[in-house]
Amino acid sequence: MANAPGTPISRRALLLGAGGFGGAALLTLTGCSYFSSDEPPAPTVVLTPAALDPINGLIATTRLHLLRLDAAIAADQADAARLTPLRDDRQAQLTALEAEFARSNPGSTAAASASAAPTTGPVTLPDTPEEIISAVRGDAATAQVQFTDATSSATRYRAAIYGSIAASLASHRAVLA
Amino acid sequence: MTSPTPTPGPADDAPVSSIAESGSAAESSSAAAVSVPATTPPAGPLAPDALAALQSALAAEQAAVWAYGLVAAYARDQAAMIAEARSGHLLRRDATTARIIQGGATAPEPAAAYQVSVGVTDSASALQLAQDIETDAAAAWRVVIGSTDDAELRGFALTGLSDAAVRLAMWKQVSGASPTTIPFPGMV
Repeated sequence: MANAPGTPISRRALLLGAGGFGGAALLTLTGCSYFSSDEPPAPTVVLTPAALDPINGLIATTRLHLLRLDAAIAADQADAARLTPLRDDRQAQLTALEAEFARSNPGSTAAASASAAPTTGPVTLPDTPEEIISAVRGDAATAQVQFTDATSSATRYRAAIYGSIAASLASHRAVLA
Repeated sequence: MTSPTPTPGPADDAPVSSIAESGSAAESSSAAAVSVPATTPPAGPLAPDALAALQSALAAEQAAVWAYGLVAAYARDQAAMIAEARSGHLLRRDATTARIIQGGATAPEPAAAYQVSVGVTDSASALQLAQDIETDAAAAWRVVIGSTDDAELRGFALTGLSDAAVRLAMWKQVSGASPTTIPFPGMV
């Protein structure tokens, strides 16, 4: 029963309220609730700050596209002269990204570098030269979007690098059109 | 590559016949990555470092508009490309001016004329100047990206950087230069 304004709180009501609050606080402090009993299992994989670095995704994409460019140059000799400079650009970009990762995470290895250095399967590409060029252009467009997105939220130093790479990828699309 | 000189020169505001349209998802033309800059900048004052970078970028765009007039005089076979490039720089110049004014600062006026990096005497030297124009513009917009934490302003600058990189590649292609692309446009 609620007390009317100005009415003194009875001793019994005060003790009941204090007891309820104390019980709830005790449950909270011990991590228990009315609906659970056990602690959640500890994670088996713990992410380190280096693995959380968002540059890893950009390195992985660049490395994958570099492999696809290598395969395209091997499969499409007629367009090799046009594709080779683009491959050189992507290699230079990969080198710069890995250098930036190393600068920011001294002593760590980029996740993409560790997992993707030796490839175990062939890179699949379309059959015709036109389709191969289209696939390479599609890769450039995909990477351009990825680097553009990364530019918006990175540090100033990285944003300048990402923006420059995104612009380079825009020019790749243009020369392949 | 272009620096202001006190000598009188042609007017910069002559109308142009073609406007660079947004390429959206299209990839079939060189204009695929060239888009019309936003004309309604967000309200609010600009941070000092972002303002300084934007003013440098504006100066580069003003120089580009003037210098393409010189390119047009000698590379007449490339009139369509020149008109498209010049109109792109005109749009970006005006959008940049609007941003600076909206940000509470004063936009510098263009110089009457500029000293260019190469002596333009024929089509080849004119095409070299066109490449220098885009190299300068790319460098200026890259500095803007690295001078602000504002994602919207970074996006605006990135469009300018990408447009310049695409035009640079196109001019290299027309000139017969190789390679036509570079890995880090704007880095000098």
